[in-house]
Amino acid sequence: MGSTGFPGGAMARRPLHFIWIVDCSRSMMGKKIQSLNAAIQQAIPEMRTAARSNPGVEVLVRAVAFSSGARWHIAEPTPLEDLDWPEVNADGHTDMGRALQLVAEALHALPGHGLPPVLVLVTDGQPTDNFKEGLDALRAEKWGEKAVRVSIAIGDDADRNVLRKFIGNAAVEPLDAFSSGALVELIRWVSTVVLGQAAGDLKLPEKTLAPPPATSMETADDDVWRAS
Amino acid sequence: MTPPDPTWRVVTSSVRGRSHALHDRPNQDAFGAIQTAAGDLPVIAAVADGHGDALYFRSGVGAELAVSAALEALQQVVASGSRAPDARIARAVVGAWRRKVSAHMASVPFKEDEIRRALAQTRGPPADFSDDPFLAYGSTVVAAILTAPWSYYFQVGDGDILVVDPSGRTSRQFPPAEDYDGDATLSLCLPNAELGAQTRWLDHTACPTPEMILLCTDGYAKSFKSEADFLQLGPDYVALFQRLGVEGVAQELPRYLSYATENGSGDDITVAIVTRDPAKAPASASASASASGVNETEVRSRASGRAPGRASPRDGLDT
Repeated sequence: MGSTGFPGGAMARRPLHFIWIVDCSRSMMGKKIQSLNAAIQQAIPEMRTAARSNPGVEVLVRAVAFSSGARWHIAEPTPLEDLDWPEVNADGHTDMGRALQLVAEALHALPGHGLPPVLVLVTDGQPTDNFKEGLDALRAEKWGEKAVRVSIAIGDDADRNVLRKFIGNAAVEPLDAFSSGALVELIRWVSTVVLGQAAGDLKLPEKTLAPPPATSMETADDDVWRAS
Repeated sequence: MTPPDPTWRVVTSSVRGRSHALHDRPNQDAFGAIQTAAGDLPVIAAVADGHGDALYFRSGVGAELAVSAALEALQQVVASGSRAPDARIARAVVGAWRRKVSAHMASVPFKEDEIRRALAQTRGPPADFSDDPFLAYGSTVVAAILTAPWSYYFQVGDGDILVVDPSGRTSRQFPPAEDYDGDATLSLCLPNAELGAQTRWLDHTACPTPEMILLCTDGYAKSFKSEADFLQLGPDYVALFQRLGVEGVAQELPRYLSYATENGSGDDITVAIVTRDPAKAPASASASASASGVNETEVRSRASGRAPGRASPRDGLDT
Protein backbone atom coordinates (compact mmCIF):
# COMPACT_ATOMS: atom_id res chain seq x y z
CA MET A 1 0.00 0.00 0.00
CA GLY A 2 1.23 3.46 -0.80
CA SER A 3 1.54 6.34 1.58
CA THR A 4 -2.10 7.23 0.93
CA GLY A 5 -3.32 4.08 2.67
CA PHE A 6 -5.32 3.14 -0.42
CA PRO A 7 -4.52 0.28 -2.81
CA GLY A 8 -2.40 1.09 -5.81
CA GLY A 9 0.38 3.58 -6.33
CA ALA A 10 0.33 7.32 -6.89
CA MET A 11 -2.81 8.80 -8.38
CA ALA A 12 -3.13 11.75 -10.73
CA ARG A 13 -5.67 13.53 -12.83
CA ARG A 14 -5.28 13.05 -16.56
CA PRO A 15 -3.14 15.79 -18.15
CA LEU A 16 -4.49 17.71 -21.13
CA HIS A 17 -1.83 19.81 -22.84
CA PHE A 18 -3.10 23.06 -24.38
CA ILE A 19 -0.58 24.96 -26.53
CA TRP A 20 -1.03 28.45 -27.99
CA ILE A 21 1.04 29.02 -31.16
CA VAL A 22 0.89 32.77 -31.75
CA ASP A 23 2.11 34.96 -34.59
CA CYS A 24 4.23 37.86 -33.34
CA SER A 25 5.39 39.12 -36.73
CA ARG A 26 5.61 42.80 -37.70
CA SER A 27 2.18 42.84 -39.29
CA MET A 28 0.67 41.96 -35.91
CA MET A 29 1.92 45.22 -34.43
CA GLY A 30 -0.59 47.58 -32.93
CA LYS A 31 -4.19 46.67 -32.31
CA LYS A 32 -3.86 43.02 -33.40
CA ILE A 33 -1.21 42.07 -30.84
CA GLN A 34 -2.92 44.19 -28.18
CA SER A 35 -6.19 42.39 -28.83
CA LEU A 36 -4.49 38.99 -28.81
CA ASN A 37 -2.79 39.67 -25.48
CA ALA A 38 -5.98 40.97 -23.92
CA ALA A 39 -8.08 38.13 -25.31
CA ILE A 40 -5.85 35.37 -23.97
CA GLN A 41 -5.52 37.02 -20.57
CA GLN A 42 -9.29 37.51 -20.36
CA ALA A 43 -9.91 33.90 -21.35
CA ILE A 44 -7.94 32.45 -18.45
CA PRO A 45 -10.71 32.67 -15.83
CA GLU A 46 -13.15 31.12 -18.28
CA MET A 47 -10.69 28.33 -19.02
CA ARG A 48 -10.59 27.63 -15.30
CA THR A 49 -14.38 27.43 -15.23
CA ALA A 50 -14.46 25.11 -18.25
CA ALA A 51 -11.79 22.89 -16.72
CA ARG A 52 -13.76 22.57 -13.48
CA SER A 53 -16.45 20.72 -15.46
CA ASN A 54 -13.96 17.91 -15.87
CA PRO A 55 -12.40 17.46 -12.45
CA GLY A 56 -10.52 14.34 -13.53
CA VAL A 57 -8.48 16.36 -16.03
CA GLU A 58 -5.57 18.69 -15.36
CA VAL A 59 -5.16 21.32 -18.07
CA LEU A 60 -1.54 22.32 -18.65
CA VAL A 61 -0.92 25.39 -20.81
CA ARG A 62 2.15 26.39 -22.82
CA ALA A 63 2.71 28.91 -25.59
CA VAL A 64 5.03 29.34 -28.55
CA ALA A 65 5.59 32.78 -30.09
CA PHE A 66 6.96 33.01 -33.62
CA SER A 67 8.30 35.86 -35.67
CA SER A 68 11.92 35.70 -36.88
CA GLY A 69 12.47 32.23 -35.50
CA ALA A 70 10.30 30.77 -32.76
CA ARG A 71 10.65 30.51 -29.00
CA TRP A 72 8.75 29.23 -26.02
CA HIS A 73 6.76 32.08 -24.53
CA ILE A 74 5.43 29.84 -21.74
CA ALA A 75 7.87 26.94 -21.70
CA GLU A 76 6.68 24.85 -18.78
CA PRO A 77 3.30 23.09 -18.83
CA THR A 78 1.42 25.41 -16.47
CA PRO A 79 -1.68 24.48 -14.48
CA LEU A 80 -4.56 26.87 -15.07
CA GLU A 81 -4.61 27.99 -11.46
CA ASP A 82 -1.02 29.23 -11.88
CA LEU A 83 -1.42 30.63 -15.40
CA ASP A 84 -0.80 34.24 -16.24
CA TRP A 85 -0.26 35.58 -19.76
CA PRO A 86 2.93 37.65 -20.18
CA GLU A 87 2.31 40.01 -23.06
CA VAL A 88 3.95 39.26 -26.38
CA ASN A 89 5.34 41.99 -28.63
CA ALA A 90 5.34 41.97 -32.40
CA ASP A 91 8.20 42.42 -34.86
CA GLY A 92 10.04 40.34 -37.46
CA HIS A 93 9.02 37.66 -39.93
CA THR A 94 6.55 34.76 -39.76
CA ASP A 95 8.53 31.57 -39.08
CA MET A 96 5.52 29.35 -38.57
CA GLY A 97 7.36 26.19 -39.60
CA ARG A 98 9.92 26.62 -36.84
CA ALA A 99 7.08 27.10 -34.35
CA LEU A 100 5.54 23.78 -35.36
CA GLN A 101 8.90 22.08 -34.97
CA LEU A 102 9.20 23.38 -31.42
CA VAL A 103 5.74 22.03 -30.66
CA ALA A 104 6.64 18.68 -32.26
CA GLU A 105 9.69 18.40 -30.00
CA ALA A 106 7.56 19.07 -26.95
CA LEU A 107 4.91 16.53 -27.94
CA HIS A 108 7.61 13.92 -28.51
CA ALA A 109 8.33 14.03 -24.78
CA LEU A 110 4.74 13.33 -23.69
CA PRO A 111 3.90 9.88 -22.25
CA GLY A 112 2.33 7.32 -24.53
CA HIS A 113 -1.22 7.43 -23.24
CA GLY A 114 -3.47 10.28 -22.28
CA LEU A 115 -5.82 12.87 -23.65
CA PRO A 116 -4.95 14.30 -27.07
CA PRO A 117 -3.45 17.80 -26.77
CA VAL A 118 -5.12 20.94 -28.09
CA LEU A 119 -3.04 23.11 -30.44
CA VAL A 120 -4.27 26.60 -31.35
CA LEU A 121 -2.46 28.44 -34.15
CA VAL A 122 -3.18 32.16 -34.44
CA THR A 123 -1.77 34.13 -37.39
CA ASP A 124 -2.41 37.05 -39.69
CA GLY A 125 -0.02 36.16 -42.48
CA GLN A 126 1.87 33.61 -44.50
CA PRO A 127 4.80 31.54 -43.31
CA THR A 128 8.21 32.92 -44.23
CA ASP A 129 10.11 29.71 -43.56
CA ASN A 130 9.66 26.05 -44.43
CA PHE A 131 6.12 25.49 -43.19
CA LYS A 132 5.85 22.01 -44.71
CA GLU A 133 8.92 20.80 -42.84
CA GLY A 134 7.45 22.03 -39.58
CA LEU A 135 4.02 20.54 -40.26
CA ASP A 136 5.54 17.22 -41.30
CA ALA A 137 7.56 17.15 -38.07
CA LEU A 138 4.43 17.86 -36.07
CA ARG A 139 2.31 15.19 -37.75
CA ALA A 140 5.10 12.64 -37.51
CA GLU A 141 4.62 12.78 -33.76
CA LYS A 142 1.86 10.57 -32.39
CA TRP A 143 0.43 13.39 -30.29
CA GLY A 144 0.85 15.89 -33.08
CA GLU A 145 -1.24 13.74 -35.37
CA LYS A 146 -3.86 12.99 -32.73
CA ALA A 147 -4.03 16.56 -31.42
CA VAL A 148 -7.15 18.68 -31.70
CA ARG A 149 -5.77 21.34 -34.06
CA VAL A 150 -7.60 24.65 -34.38
CA SER A 151 -6.54 27.86 -36.10
CA ILE A 152 -7.60 31.49 -36.03
CA ALA A 153 -6.94 33.57 -39.14
CA ILE A 154 -6.65 37.28 -38.39
CA GLY A 155 -7.60 39.47 -41.29
CA ASP A 156 -7.56 38.97 -45.03
CA ASP A 157 -3.86 38.27 -45.42
CA ALA A 158 -3.75 35.12 -43.33
CA ASP A 159 -3.00 32.13 -45.55
CA ARG A 160 -6.02 29.95 -45.06
CA ASN A 161 -4.71 27.13 -47.22
CA VAL A 162 -1.77 26.80 -44.86
CA LEU A 163 -4.10 26.83 -41.90
CA ARG A 164 -6.28 24.13 -43.46
CA LYS A 165 -3.19 21.98 -43.81
CA PHE A 166 -2.40 22.57 -40.18
CA ILE A 167 -5.92 21.60 -39.13
CA GLY A 168 -5.82 18.50 -41.33
CA ASN A 169 -9.57 17.93 -41.22
CA ALA A 170 -11.62 18.81 -44.30
CA ALA A 171 -14.69 19.33 -42.15
CA VAL A 172 -13.05 22.05 -40.06
CA GLU A 173 -12.24 25.48 -41.45
CA PRO A 174 -9.93 28.11 -39.97
CA LEU A 175 -11.77 30.55 -37.76
CA ASP A 176 -11.93 34.06 -39.20
CA ALA A 177 -11.28 37.12 -37.06
CA PHE A 178 -11.77 40.34 -38.97
CA SER A 179 -11.99 42.57 -35.93
CA SER A 180 -10.66 42.76 -32.42
CA GLY A 181 -14.09 41.86 -31.08
CA ALA A 182 -14.21 38.75 -33.21
CA LEU A 183 -10.68 37.79 -32.12
CA VAL A 184 -11.64 38.07 -28.47
CA GLU A 185 -14.76 35.97 -29.04
CA LEU A 186 -12.90 33.26 -30.94
CA ILE A 187 -10.08 33.11 -28.40
CA ARG A 188 -12.71 32.66 -25.69
CA TRP A 189 -14.47 29.92 -27.67
CA VAL A 190 -11.28 28.01 -28.30
CA SER A 191 -10.25 28.38 -24.67
CA THR A 192 -13.52 27.14 -23.28
CA VAL A 193 -15.66 25.14 -25.68
CA VAL A 194 -12.83 23.36 -27.45
CA LEU A 195 -11.04 22.80 -24.16
CA GLY A 196 -14.20 21.46 -22.58
CA GLN A 197 -14.83 19.06 -25.44
CA ALA A 198 -11.25 17.83 -25.51
CA ALA A 199 -11.44 17.11 -21.79
CA GLY A 200 -14.87 15.54 -21.97
CA ASP A 201 -15.73 11.88 -22.23
CA LEU A 202 -16.59 11.38 -25.86
CA LYS A 203 -16.22 7.64 -26.21
CA LEU A 204 -16.13 6.74 -29.87
CA PRO A 205 -13.03 7.56 -31.91
CA GLU A 206 -14.36 10.49 -33.91
CA LYS A 207 -13.97 13.67 -31.98
CA THR A 208 -16.04 16.33 -33.69
CA LEU A 209 -16.01 19.91 -32.52
CA ALA A 210 -19.14 21.87 -31.91
CA PRO A 211 -19.63 24.66 -34.47
CA PRO A 212 -17.83 27.91 -33.56
CA PRO A 213 -19.69 31.12 -32.85
CA ALA A 214 -20.70 33.29 -35.76
CA THR A 215 -18.55 36.42 -35.59
CA SER A 216 -20.07 39.46 -37.21
CA MET A 217 -17.91 41.90 -39.11
CA GLU A 218 -20.22 44.65 -38.07
CA THR A 219 -18.66 45.76 -34.80
CA ALA A 220 -18.40 49.00 -33.00
CA ASP A 221 -14.59 48.65 -33.08
CA ASP A 222 -12.70 50.83 -35.44
CA ASP A 223 -10.23 48.02 -36.10
CA VAL A 224 -11.64 45.96 -38.88
CA TRP A 225 -8.96 43.80 -40.46
CA ARG A 226 -10.39 43.36 -43.88
CA ALA A 227 -9.62 44.94 -47.22
CA SER A 228 -12.34 47.36 -48.22
CA MET B 1 1.61 -23.31 -0.14
CA THR B 2 -1.77 -23.38 -1.80
CA PRO B 3 -4.30 -25.17 0.41
CA PRO B 4 -6.25 -28.02 -1.20
CA ASP B 5 -9.70 -27.11 -2.46
CA PRO B 6 -9.33 -23.40 -1.77
CA THR B 7 -12.45 -21.37 -1.44
CA TRP B 8 -13.02 -18.84 -4.17
CA ARG B 9 -14.83 -15.59 -3.59
CA VAL B 10 -16.03 -12.73 -5.74
CA VAL B 11 -16.10 -9.15 -4.54
CA THR B 12 -17.68 -6.38 -6.58
CA SER B 13 -18.30 -2.69 -6.23
CA SER B 14 -19.02 0.37 -8.31
CA VAL B 15 -18.93 4.10 -7.63
CA ARG B 16 -20.25 7.03 -9.62
CA GLY B 17 -17.53 9.25 -11.02
CA ARG B 18 -16.81 12.67 -9.58
CA SER B 19 -17.38 14.18 -13.05
CA HIS B 20 -20.71 12.42 -13.40
CA ALA B 21 -21.82 13.59 -9.97
CA LEU B 22 -20.89 17.15 -10.94
CA HIS B 23 -23.13 16.97 -14.01
CA ASP B 24 -25.87 15.02 -12.24
CA ARG B 25 -25.36 12.03 -14.50
CA PRO B 26 -25.86 8.49 -13.26
CA ASN B 27 -23.22 5.83 -12.93
CA GLN B 28 -23.34 3.94 -16.23
CA ASP B 29 -21.15 1.01 -15.30
CA ALA B 30 -22.51 -2.46 -14.56
CA PHE B 31 -21.12 -5.64 -13.06
CA GLY B 32 -22.09 -9.24 -12.37
CA ALA B 33 -20.81 -12.67 -11.52
CA ILE B 34 -21.88 -16.31 -11.59
CA GLN B 35 -20.41 -18.86 -9.24
CA THR B 36 -21.24 -22.53 -9.35
CA ALA B 37 -21.57 -23.72 -5.76
CA ALA B 38 -20.60 -21.37 -2.99
CA GLY B 39 -16.85 -20.96 -2.81
CA ASP B 40 -16.16 -23.26 -5.70
CA LEU B 41 -15.05 -23.00 -9.31
CA PRO B 42 -15.95 -22.16 -11.99
CA VAL B 43 -16.50 -18.46 -11.51
CA ILE B 44 -17.52 -16.09 -14.28
CA ALA B 45 -17.32 -12.33 -13.75
CA ALA B 46 -17.95 -9.30 -15.95
CA VAL B 47 -17.91 -5.51 -15.79
CA ALA B 48 -19.10 -3.05 -18.42
CA ASP B 49 -18.90 0.69 -19.04
CA GLY B 50 -21.72 2.52 -20.82
CA HIS B 51 -20.41 5.38 -22.94
CA GLY B 52 -22.35 8.10 -21.25
CA ASP B 53 -22.23 10.75 -23.96
CA ALA B 54 -25.54 12.28 -25.07
CA LEU B 55 -25.52 10.12 -28.20
CA TYR B 56 -25.57 6.92 -26.13
CA PHE B 57 -28.64 7.81 -24.15
CA ARG B 58 -29.37 4.25 -23.04
CA SER B 59 -25.79 3.20 -22.42
CA GLY B 60 -26.47 2.49 -18.76
CA VAL B 61 -28.93 -0.18 -19.89
CA GLY B 62 -26.44 -1.19 -22.57
CA ALA B 63 -23.82 -1.84 -19.90
CA GLU B 64 -26.19 -3.97 -17.86
CA LEU B 65 -27.13 -5.97 -20.96
CA ALA B 66 -23.43 -6.33 -21.80
CA VAL B 67 -22.76 -7.97 -18.45
CA SER B 68 -25.78 -10.21 -18.87
CA ALA B 69 -24.73 -11.20 -22.40
CA ALA B 70 -21.14 -11.92 -21.37
CA LEU B 71 -22.20 -14.05 -18.41
CA GLU B 72 -24.69 -15.95 -20.55
CA ALA B 73 -22.27 -16.61 -23.41
CA LEU B 74 -19.36 -17.54 -21.16
CA GLN B 75 -21.59 -19.85 -19.14
CA GLN B 76 -22.12 -21.77 -22.38
CA VAL B 77 -18.37 -21.99 -22.81
CA VAL B 78 -18.04 -23.55 -19.38
CA ALA B 79 -20.96 -25.88 -19.95
CA SER B 80 -19.52 -27.11 -23.24
CA GLY B 81 -16.52 -28.48 -21.39
CA SER B 82 -14.16 -27.79 -24.27
CA ARG B 83 -12.26 -24.86 -25.68
CA ALA B 84 -14.26 -23.00 -28.29
CA PRO B 85 -12.69 -20.85 -31.01
CA ASP B 86 -12.21 -17.29 -29.86
CA ALA B 87 -14.10 -15.92 -32.85
CA ARG B 88 -17.14 -18.03 -31.99
CA ILE B 89 -17.11 -16.83 -28.39
CA ALA B 90 -16.81 -13.22 -29.54
CA ARG B 91 -19.76 -13.66 -31.90
CA ALA B 92 -21.72 -15.28 -29.09
CA VAL B 93 -21.14 -12.39 -26.68
CA VAL B 94 -21.82 -9.66 -29.22
CA GLY B 95 -24.78 -11.55 -30.65
CA ALA B 96 -26.28 -12.04 -27.20
CA TRP B 97 -25.87 -8.35 -26.48
CA ARG B 98 -27.55 -7.32 -29.71
CA ARG B 99 -30.45 -9.70 -29.06
CA LYS B 100 -30.90 -8.34 -25.57
CA VAL B 101 -30.76 -4.76 -26.85
CA SER B 102 -33.32 -5.56 -29.54
CA ALA B 103 -35.61 -7.10 -26.94
CA HIS B 104 -35.24 -4.05 -24.73
CA MET B 105 -36.05 -1.73 -27.61
CA ALA B 106 -39.10 -3.81 -28.46
CA SER B 107 -40.38 -3.57 -24.91
CA VAL B 108 -39.29 0.06 -24.40
CA PRO B 109 -39.35 1.75 -27.81
CA PHE B 110 -37.38 4.96 -28.30
CA LYS B 111 -39.39 8.03 -27.46
CA GLU B 112 -39.24 11.09 -29.70
CA ASP B 113 -38.00 13.31 -26.91
CA GLU B 114 -35.19 10.85 -26.09
CA ILE B 115 -33.91 11.07 -29.65
CA ARG B 116 -34.48 14.82 -29.87
CA ARG B 117 -32.48 15.45 -26.67
CA ALA B 118 -29.69 13.17 -27.85
CA LEU B 119 -29.37 14.90 -31.21
CA ALA B 120 -29.58 18.37 -29.68
CA GLN B 121 -26.63 17.65 -27.41
CA THR B 122 -24.54 15.68 -29.86
CA ARG B 123 -21.62 17.06 -31.79
CA GLY B 124 -20.98 16.15 -35.38
CA PRO B 125 -23.35 14.77 -38.00
CA PRO B 126 -26.70 13.59 -36.62
CA ALA B 127 -27.00 9.89 -35.88
CA ASP B 128 -29.81 7.95 -37.50
CA PHE B 129 -31.16 5.79 -34.73
CA SER B 130 -33.63 4.10 -37.05
CA ASP B 131 -30.65 2.84 -39.04
CA ASP B 132 -28.44 2.07 -36.09
CA PRO B 133 -30.43 1.79 -32.87
CA PHE B 134 -27.65 -0.08 -31.09
CA LEU B 135 -25.67 3.15 -30.89
CA ALA B 136 -27.89 4.40 -28.09
CA TYR B 137 -26.87 1.42 -25.93
CA GLY B 138 -23.11 1.67 -26.56
CA SER B 139 -20.96 -0.09 -23.98
CA THR B 140 -17.71 -1.93 -23.43
CA VAL B 141 -17.46 -5.31 -21.70
CA VAL B 142 -14.64 -7.02 -19.77
CA ALA B 143 -15.08 -10.61 -18.57
CA ALA B 144 -13.25 -13.64 -17.24
CA ILE B 145 -13.86 -17.31 -16.51
CA LEU B 146 -11.86 -19.11 -13.84
CA THR B 147 -12.01 -22.89 -13.71
CA ALA B 148 -9.63 -25.34 -12.12
CA PRO B 149 -7.88 -26.43 -15.34
CA TRP B 150 -8.04 -23.14 -17.29
CA SER B 151 -9.03 -19.51 -17.31
CA TYR B 152 -10.35 -17.32 -20.09
CA TYR B 153 -10.31 -13.58 -20.58
CA PHE B 154 -12.48 -11.54 -22.90
CA GLN B 155 -12.77 -7.83 -23.67
CA VAL B 156 -14.45 -5.49 -26.14
CA GLY B 157 -13.44 -1.88 -25.70
CA ASP B 158 -11.54 -0.33 -22.83
CA GLY B 159 -11.23 -1.58 -19.28
CA ASP B 160 -8.58 -3.78 -17.71
CA ILE B 161 -7.90 -7.28 -16.44
CA LEU B 162 -5.13 -7.84 -13.89
CA VAL B 163 -4.02 -11.31 -12.86
CA VAL B 164 -1.89 -12.04 -9.80
CA ASP B 165 -0.03 -15.35 -9.90
CA PRO B 166 1.02 -17.43 -6.87
CA SER B 167 4.40 -15.71 -6.79
CA GLY B 168 2.66 -12.35 -6.37
CA ARG B 169 3.50 -11.11 -9.84
CA THR B 170 0.79 -8.92 -11.37
CA SER B 171 0.24 -8.67 -15.08
CA ARG B 172 -2.28 -7.26 -17.49
CA GLN B 173 -4.04 -9.79 -19.67
CA PHE B 174 -4.28 -7.29 -22.53
CA PRO B 175 -2.11 -4.28 -23.30
CA PRO B 176 -3.76 -0.87 -23.26
CA ALA B 177 -5.30 -0.04 -26.62
CA GLU B 178 -2.76 1.83 -28.75
CA ASP B 179 -5.12 3.07 -31.41
CA TYR B 180 -7.48 4.92 -29.13
CA ASP B 181 -6.53 7.66 -26.75
CA GLY B 182 -8.27 9.87 -24.38
CA ASP B 183 -11.71 8.36 -23.81
CA ALA B 184 -12.25 6.84 -27.23
CA THR B 185 -12.86 3.09 -27.26
CA LEU B 186 -14.08 0.15 -29.27
CA SER B 187 -17.67 -0.64 -28.47
CA LEU B 188 -20.25 -3.40 -28.62
CA CYS B 189 -22.47 -1.04 -30.61
CA LEU B 190 -20.04 -0.70 -33.52
CA PRO B 191 -20.49 -2.88 -36.63
CA ASN B 192 -18.43 -6.07 -36.48
CA ALA B 193 -17.59 -5.41 -32.83
CA GLU B 194 -16.64 -9.07 -32.44
CA LEU B 195 -13.66 -8.52 -34.73
CA GLY B 196 -12.20 -6.14 -32.16
CA ALA B 197 -12.58 -8.51 -29.21
CA GLN B 198 -9.45 -9.33 -27.24
CA THR B 199 -9.31 -12.90 -25.93
CA ARG B 200 -6.88 -15.18 -24.09
CA TRP B 201 -6.97 -18.70 -22.78
CA LEU B 202 -4.63 -19.78 -19.98
CA ASP B 203 -4.01 -23.51 -19.52
CA HIS B 204 -3.25 -24.10 -15.86
CA THR B 205 -1.08 -27.10 -16.64
CA ALA B 206 1.27 -24.72 -18.41
CA CYS B 207 1.03 -21.80 -16.02
CA PRO B 208 -0.14 -21.50 -12.43
CA THR B 209 -3.75 -20.88 -11.49
CA PRO B 210 -4.17 -17.21 -10.67
CA GLU B 211 -4.40 -16.20 -7.04
CA MET B 212 -6.57 -13.25 -7.94
CA ILE B 213 -8.24 -11.78 -11.00
CA LEU B 214 -9.28 -8.13 -11.00
CA LEU B 215 -11.60 -6.79 -13.69
CA CYS B 216 -12.20 -3.04 -13.81
CA THR B 217 -13.66 -0.36 -16.00
CA ASP B 218 -11.22 2.17 -17.43
CA GLY B 219 -11.84 4.82 -14.79
CA TYR B 220 -9.61 2.90 -12.38
CA ALA B 221 -6.47 2.65 -14.53
CA LYS B 222 -6.88 6.27 -15.62
CA SER B 223 -6.70 7.35 -12.01
CA PHE B 224 -3.06 6.35 -11.63
CA LYS B 225 0.01 8.33 -12.46
CA SER B 226 1.74 5.47 -14.25
CA GLU B 227 1.30 1.89 -15.36
CA ALA B 228 3.43 0.73 -12.43
CA ASP B 229 1.15 2.60 -10.02
CA PHE B 230 -1.87 0.84 -11.53
CA LEU B 231 -0.25 -2.61 -11.41
CA GLN B 232 0.47 -2.03 -7.71
CA LEU B 233 -3.22 -2.81 -7.20
CA GLY B 234 -2.40 -6.51 -7.57
CA PRO B 235 -0.14 -7.01 -4.55
CA ASP B 236 -2.01 -4.40 -2.54
CA TYR B 237 -5.36 -6.15 -2.88
CA VAL B 238 -3.77 -9.53 -2.10
CA ALA B 239 -2.36 -8.02 1.09
CA LEU B 240 -5.70 -6.43 1.93
CA PHE B 241 -7.57 -9.72 1.56
CA GLN B 242 -5.05 -11.33 3.88
CA ARG B 243 -5.28 -8.55 6.43
CA LEU B 244 -8.97 -7.65 6.36
CA GLY B 245 -10.55 -10.81 4.97
CA VAL B 246 -12.97 -10.93 2.09
CA GLU B 247 -15.84 -9.31 3.97
CA GLY B 248 -13.51 -6.58 5.19
CA VAL B 249 -12.36 -5.73 1.68
CA ALA B 250 -15.91 -5.90 0.39
CA GLN B 251 -16.88 -3.34 3.01
CA GLU B 252 -13.97 -1.02 2.21
CA LEU B 253 -14.07 -1.33 -1.56
CA PRO B 254 -16.51 1.54 -2.21
CA ARG B 255 -14.24 3.82 -0.19
CA TYR B 256 -11.17 2.75 -2.18
CA LEU B 257 -12.93 3.39 -5.47
CA SER B 258 -14.34 6.73 -4.32
CA TYR B 259 -10.85 7.86 -3.39
CA ALA B 260 -9.65 6.92 -6.86
CA THR B 261 -12.33 8.86 -8.72
CA GLU B 262 -11.94 11.89 -6.43
CA ASN B 263 -8.16 12.04 -6.79
CA GLY B 264 -7.73 10.54 -10.24
CA SER B 265 -9.86 10.11 -13.32
CA GLY B 266 -13.19 11.51 -12.11
CA ASP B 267 -14.84 8.66 -14.03
CA ASP B 268 -17.21 5.92 -12.82
CA ILE B 269 -15.14 3.05 -11.43
CA THR B 270 -16.28 -0.56 -11.19
CA VAL B 271 -14.35 -3.64 -10.13
CA ALA B 272 -15.02 -7.36 -9.87
CA ILE B 273 -12.35 -9.31 -8.01
CA VAL B 274 -12.12 -13.10 -8.04
CA THR B 275 -9.85 -14.26 -5.24
CA ARG B 276 -8.84 -17.19 -3.12
CA ASP B 277 -10.23 -16.63 0.34
CA PRO B 278 -7.22 -16.65 2.65
CA ALA B 279 -9.34 -17.20 5.74
CA LYS B 280 -12.04 -19.73 4.84
CA ALA B 281 -11.50 -23.43 5.38
CA PRO B 282 -11.77 -25.56 2.25
CA ALA B 283 -15.34 -26.59 1.42
CA SER B 284 -16.10 -30.10 2.77
CA ALA B 285 -16.96 -32.96 0.44
CA SER B 286 -20.27 -33.61 2.28
CA ALA B 287 -21.45 -30.04 1.72
CA SER B 288 -20.85 -30.33 -2.02
CA ALA B 289 -22.51 -33.74 -2.21
CA SER B 290 -25.66 -32.46 -0.56
CA ALA B 291 -26.37 -29.96 -3.34
CA SER B 292 -28.99 -31.20 -5.73
CA GLY B 293 -27.51 -30.44 -9.08
CA VAL B 294 -25.74 -27.20 -9.77
CA ASN B 295 -26.37 -24.54 -7.20
CA GLU B 296 -25.71 -21.34 -9.03
CA THR B 297 -25.44 -18.08 -7.24
CA GLU B 298 -26.01 -15.39 -9.75
CA VAL B 299 -25.74 -11.71 -9.20
CA ARG B 300 -26.38 -9.20 -11.87
CA SER B 301 -26.39 -5.74 -10.62
CA ARG B 302 -26.35 -2.36 -12.14
CA ALA B 303 -24.33 0.26 -10.42
CA SER B 304 -27.37 2.49 -10.11
CA GLY B 305 -28.20 0.51 -7.02
CA ARG B 306 -31.05 -1.54 -8.34
CA ALA B 307 -31.48 -4.57 -6.11
CA PRO B 308 -29.61 -7.60 -7.39
CA GLY B 309 -31.30 -10.88 -7.88
CA ARG B 310 -30.48 -13.91 -5.74
CA ALA B 311 -27.42 -12.36 -4.13
CA SER B 312 -25.68 -14.34 -1.45
CA PRO B 313 -23.73 -12.17 0.99
CA ARG B 314 -21.96 -15.30 2.17
CA ASP B 315 -20.09 -15.38 -1.11
CA GLY B 316 -18.79 -11.88 -0.64
CA LEU B 317 -20.78 -10.48 -3.48
CA ASP B 318 -21.12 -6.80 -2.99
CA THR B 319 -23.27 -4.17 -4.62
